[in-house]
Amino acid sequence: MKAIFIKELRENGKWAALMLVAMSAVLAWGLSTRPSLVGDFVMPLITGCGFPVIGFALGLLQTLQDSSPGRWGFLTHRPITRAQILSAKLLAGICLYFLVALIPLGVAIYWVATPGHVAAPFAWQMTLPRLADAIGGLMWYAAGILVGARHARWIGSRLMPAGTALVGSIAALWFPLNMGEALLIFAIVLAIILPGAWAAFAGGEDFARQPIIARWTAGLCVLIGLFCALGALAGFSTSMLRSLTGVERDRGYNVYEFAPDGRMLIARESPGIPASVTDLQGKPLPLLAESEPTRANILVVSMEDNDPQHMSRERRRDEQGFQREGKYLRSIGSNELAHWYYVVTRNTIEGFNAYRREYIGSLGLAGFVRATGSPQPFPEPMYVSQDEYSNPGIVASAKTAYELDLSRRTIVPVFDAEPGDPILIADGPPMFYDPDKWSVPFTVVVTHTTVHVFESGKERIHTALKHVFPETISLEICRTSDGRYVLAYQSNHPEKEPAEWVDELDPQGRLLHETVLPRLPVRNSPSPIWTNTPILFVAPPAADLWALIWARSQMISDPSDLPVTIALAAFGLITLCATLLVVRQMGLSRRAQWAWVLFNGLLGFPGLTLLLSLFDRIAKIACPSCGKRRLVTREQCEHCNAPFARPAPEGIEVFASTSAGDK
Amino acid sequence: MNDFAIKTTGLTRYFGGKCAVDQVSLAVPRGSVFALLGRNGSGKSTLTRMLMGLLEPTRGSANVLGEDCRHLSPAARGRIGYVAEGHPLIDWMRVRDLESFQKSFYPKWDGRLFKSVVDQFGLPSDARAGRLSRGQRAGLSLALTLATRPQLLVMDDPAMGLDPVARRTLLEAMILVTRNAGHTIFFSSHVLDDVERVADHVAILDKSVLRVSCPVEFFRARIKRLVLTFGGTPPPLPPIPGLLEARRDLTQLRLTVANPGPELEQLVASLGAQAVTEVALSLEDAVIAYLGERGEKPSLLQSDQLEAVAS
Amino acid sequence: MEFAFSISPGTGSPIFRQIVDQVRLAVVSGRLAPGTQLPSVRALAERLVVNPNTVAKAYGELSREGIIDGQQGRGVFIAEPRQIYTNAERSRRLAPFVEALANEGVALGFTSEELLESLRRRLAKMDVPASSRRKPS
Repeated sequence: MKAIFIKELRENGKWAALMLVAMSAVLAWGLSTRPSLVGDFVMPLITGCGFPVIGFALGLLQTLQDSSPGRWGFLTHRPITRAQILSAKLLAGICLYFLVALIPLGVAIYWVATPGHVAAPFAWQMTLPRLADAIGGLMWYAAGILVGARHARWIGSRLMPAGTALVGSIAALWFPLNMGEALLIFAIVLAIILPGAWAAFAGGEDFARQPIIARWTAGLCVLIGLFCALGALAGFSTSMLRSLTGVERDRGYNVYEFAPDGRMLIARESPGIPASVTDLQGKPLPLLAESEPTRANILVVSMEDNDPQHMSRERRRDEQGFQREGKYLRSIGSNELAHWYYVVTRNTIEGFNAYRREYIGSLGLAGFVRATGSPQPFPEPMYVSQDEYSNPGIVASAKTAYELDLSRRTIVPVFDAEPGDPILIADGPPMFYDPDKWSVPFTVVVTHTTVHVFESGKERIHTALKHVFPETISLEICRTSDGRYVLAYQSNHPEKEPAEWVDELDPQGRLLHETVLPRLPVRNSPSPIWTNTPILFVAPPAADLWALIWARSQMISDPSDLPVTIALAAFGLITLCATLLVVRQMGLSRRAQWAWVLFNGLLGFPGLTLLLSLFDRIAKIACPSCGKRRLVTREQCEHCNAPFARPAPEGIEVFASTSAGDK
Repeated sequence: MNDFAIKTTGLTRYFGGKCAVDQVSLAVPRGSVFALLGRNGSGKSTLTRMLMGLLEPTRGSANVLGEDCRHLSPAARGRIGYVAEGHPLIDWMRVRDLESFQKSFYPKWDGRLFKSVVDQFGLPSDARAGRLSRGQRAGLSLALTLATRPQLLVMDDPAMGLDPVARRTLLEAMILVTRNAGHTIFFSSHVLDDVERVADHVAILDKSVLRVSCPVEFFRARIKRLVLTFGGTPPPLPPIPGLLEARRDLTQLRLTVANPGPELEQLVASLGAQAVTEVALSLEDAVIAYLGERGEKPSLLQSDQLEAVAS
Repeated sequence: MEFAFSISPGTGSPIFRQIVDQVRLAVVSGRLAPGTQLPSVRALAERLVVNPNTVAKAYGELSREGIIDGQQGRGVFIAEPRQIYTNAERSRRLAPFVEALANEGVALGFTSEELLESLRRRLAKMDVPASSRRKPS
């Protein structure tokens, strides 16, 4: 076994070295573009795609290089079990994989963690997503082994298990909130892929004789891959059909906007056409001078609860997903001189010199503390927006709101929440952006009951928060040129009336009037159902049935509905008949045959493709006794129980009763 | 089971609808040198791969060294030496790498034997297997297999592509194996002179069907070649039982018959030839007659498509 | 071993028969004297590169014909020429050939001197000794 381990290392070592160099180069380039371990896009893309490629390639190399008949015979014909050979291969492959993955990653992490390289904070938790990607590559390695070892009927079916690894990688990207959940996903996927891989390698090519767990998991892997491939194909076809029918072009959006004097306007937007702005009655606005803005700057404040305890799981996933940058740090303000970040894991606000990429110091309760001291954490977690471009000059925890001035490096508490009425959010105009274009002259602190508006550090007005989450999703606040405030609450339900509640307040915060704005019509012509047919053909018949029933219940009637239904029913029947025909030629037991027919009734076309991918058609020839076609693999005829006839003698046979030697 | 190194019962293999091996039942006695003959594509390699457990039989069974070929234990595989068609090796490894690789699996490794065979073929120890010539590859493959001291040596066309010197060395290696009385060799070959030298049993696969399995001399004794000389054109042939081939010349008929019986003499007599001579057959001639097309058929040289020979 | 065996496969003659014929001819022509040791089965097989069973078969036939003596553990030797047949049996076996030669010669008109001369010349060509010591069986 050790000899096999060393052989695998030596055989694949050069490929591993190549991949290590390539990965290092790509990582180096990635860090030069975006020097961050967690920053969206560059590094996650590199590790999220690079490690799967490396893992898959290694798995394929290890199995394909030994798969030619001569090589395979040479390797396996020795006093060692195939299981032992596979174990040695896996050990070598995993060692190589981790060398190739962890060395460049380790260097990258070390580089990022070393002060002076990156103008951003480093927390060791930031390495976890990349490490998770590295570990996730193991799923692809296992998939590579299964793909390389499986004796597949056609090249497409051979590649299908990669789909399982793909689903695993995508799941690990979207769902986990922490490393543990990511590892759980990897473990589940590995548990699905490895038995099939093991059996494909160690069990020999006769699929029907492999242990049942191996067959089911291998079949599942192929099925997942088939769904991915067929689904992608169907999705592509559908979008092609839709663009061909030109349905997209009719879409349009209508949104409410604010005028500088506090009136509400309606903007009609269509793709490819500049927006037209009208008043609420639909009358176009009088033309204004070039320098006057048509729309007011507004502050949009999210109404959702920022307390992680109360956050919905979906939002928690969006905001604090394990792979999201926002779980670790949030940009507070950046310009050419300095970058400031809120570090979630340490609960600090830290600044970095953009040129020298050094840590400048932290802003906290004690004000600005230079780099020589350690960063000062806040007593409670701060709610800092995920949005990189908002960079407000105000941040808040549940208890206190602070006004920030990053140029002067000051942090001043401006508001303390009453006990029992914690702060929801504090928001303000973005710093470091052109003040004329983007900013509003006020900041806002919203508690669970009240909206407080601050100007120049002092509270100007406060008013009751009339509509809360989950009824509303956000609050838009505008200050008119004469000091009035307009508050527009956005409804969270896209179908219910009204769309917005608008309150107009005087400069002292007293309510002037309330308005309710109705839903604006959405010009959205849905695509005819027939453009969905590619997807419908791929989906299980049960899902199709449900989709059609749901469409009917929603009164989404479509003239193309009935022909599509008929076509789907016909296609389902054809699939079932095809299954009935095909399944008889696979040499399966009667029970297995009926199980497959039922299975394909549920799964439809992908099920039929799965059946064809897993099993070989077994030849049939005419039975010498009863004349019916019978399987060549059985000693007894299925119909008449007779054995096969011996090959007809031609009178030239020479046989001797064998003895050991002829003297 | 102790009598036979290999025993198959109705061993069959289909590739799709095509039958490559059709219900072959043969028995290889322990200690014999057993040659499997047949034309290219007659199923020899398929049969051998099934015996080695590398290919699943469609039907039937085979016992190799007492174990079912579908489930050969590692211990059994340790006692079987296998040289597959084309002498496959790990091409990137050097000769010495392959030696230490192979050695690590077999406790009974005979290093001196390995060295002798390697020296005989002139293989430098740092040469990469992929760069060796055909003959050298065969030698290396042979050395790696022989040094494990197998009880059963299975070789699929080991002489393919070998020059005469290498072939001779291969033969010597096979004789070497016979030094041990219990050790068996099962091989396939097209070099029938070498088979005549070294084999004591022979089997012939004719289009996936086994038609011969017996000691070599037994086979030879049952193939007879008669040359009938006539005054003029030889008469048309009646059906002759066991006729393998018939060659017609201007005044002669050459008949090669298997399992000649008493009725052959009468049939020959009825043709009315002036003279009937029996011609001694080499093994090669017997096998060629056996494997060619049945019945009367001109050779290439007699083909009427060719231009006439200038007399 | 001065005696050089040579065999060729691919002729009509089986290899064991070639060995038997070579030994037989050598003994009859005197090239292999009685008492000469022949190589062992294995040694000869390895020298000729043939299956030992073939050599064993040849030696077996030679032994049955009384041409060689195999002594267990001591080797294979050319046997002293001895008659397998009794003198009477030998005479009886020769008689038809003598009859045929005499009849044919007379029919063709040869004298007895000419017939004997032909016979003598032929035997001389075969290297048969003029007289030999015969052991009575």
